[in-house]
Amino acid sequence: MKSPRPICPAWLRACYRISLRTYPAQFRAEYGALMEQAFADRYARFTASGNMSEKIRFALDTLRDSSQSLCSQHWLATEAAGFVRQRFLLLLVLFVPVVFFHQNLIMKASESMTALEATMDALDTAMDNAMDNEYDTYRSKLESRLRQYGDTDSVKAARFVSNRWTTIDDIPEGEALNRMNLRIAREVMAYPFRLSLIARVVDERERYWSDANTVYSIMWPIDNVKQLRACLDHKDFAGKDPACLQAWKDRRRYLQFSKLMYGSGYRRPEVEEFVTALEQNRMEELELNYIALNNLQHCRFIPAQNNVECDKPGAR
Amino acid sequence: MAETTPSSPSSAQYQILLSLLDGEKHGYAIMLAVESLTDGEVRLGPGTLYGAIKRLIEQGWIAESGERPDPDLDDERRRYYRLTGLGQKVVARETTRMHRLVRFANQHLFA
Repeated sequence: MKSPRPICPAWLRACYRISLRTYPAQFRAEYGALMEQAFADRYARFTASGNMSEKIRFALDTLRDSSQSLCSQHWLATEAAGFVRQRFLLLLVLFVPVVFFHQNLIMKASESMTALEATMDALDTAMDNAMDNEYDTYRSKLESRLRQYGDTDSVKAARFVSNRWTTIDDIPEGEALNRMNLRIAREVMAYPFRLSLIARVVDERERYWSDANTVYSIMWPIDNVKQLRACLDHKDFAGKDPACLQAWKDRRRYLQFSKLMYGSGYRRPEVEEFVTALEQNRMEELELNYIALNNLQHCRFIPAQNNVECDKPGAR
Repeated sequence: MAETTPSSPSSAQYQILLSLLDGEKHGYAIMLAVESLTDGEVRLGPGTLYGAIKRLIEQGWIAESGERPDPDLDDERRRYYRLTGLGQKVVARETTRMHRLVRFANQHLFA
């Protein structure tokens, strides 16, 4: 179900309405209500994506538009009234501080934006490092566990894990390999970080159309998507709200996980779209994507045709 | 002195006139049409839009439309605008002028 279009909050409309009082009275009387309506429509469109940068762009756009049109409308009003000089001086006195403030405001806003981006980048880097350490630790644990089996296959598996365990293209063919893969699969499944997909991919390497349950199980839970969307809407992921911080951490983990999936040769359009949308924080799209993924549960894989059949039309 | 009647439209005014070529529109629809015409490069805010509309009406290039395309589906507070005959002539003249400029630029840049 498509989420409802955001409505411009009453307080914001009221603020804009008050700012319209700075326009010449005649212009305001004629176009004030229409401008307010257009402002609300634009707000709804800019904020529909839930993206914070769009909201900032909307605010800066509105500031620029208001200051420019305010000057030009006052200028035209003075021309119409026929006392250019006096009104021009008045405008100069009034608007020089406004323009100065306006310029400073834009600079401050862009500085804040840069600082916010730097914080996000730092958070991303910290997460990446943490993830790398986590994988390294897991890899060495898995390797030592496999070595404990002692047989040739397990030693091979251990070597594989130690080197490039996410790239299945390098694994040789054969029955021994299948046994080795299954062992890896079991080991990986024990890992709490939903790496079971890797195991399944190793097990079902040639299978493009994995079954719906597999696809569904690897998706980031819808509750996480909703949580992150709420956090992004309220711009509160700078560490103040622990749930938001956790949602952001989970997002990083999931993206890392998806990279591993792709490294394993796993391809499925719905999953790729989902990951791309998550990477770009297009949260509304993510929620819609879930509907498509839910529909997949009405589909089943037909190995002979290497295709999928769906009970529900258009489910695939 | 160059002829000034009717004067040439400004960039924003020309884009608004262009957006009304395919039928009458209300203010917000004009904003969207201009954005779409310019691939998102020009985003008219409410102040710029209605300032330009006021000017265009004064010059007689556009007029408020008495009829509404579909009153049942729309907010009755919206006002629709349409091109006048003079407005159509202005668009045609401006477009021809720009076409001449583009042709000149093409001849000298890519000859």
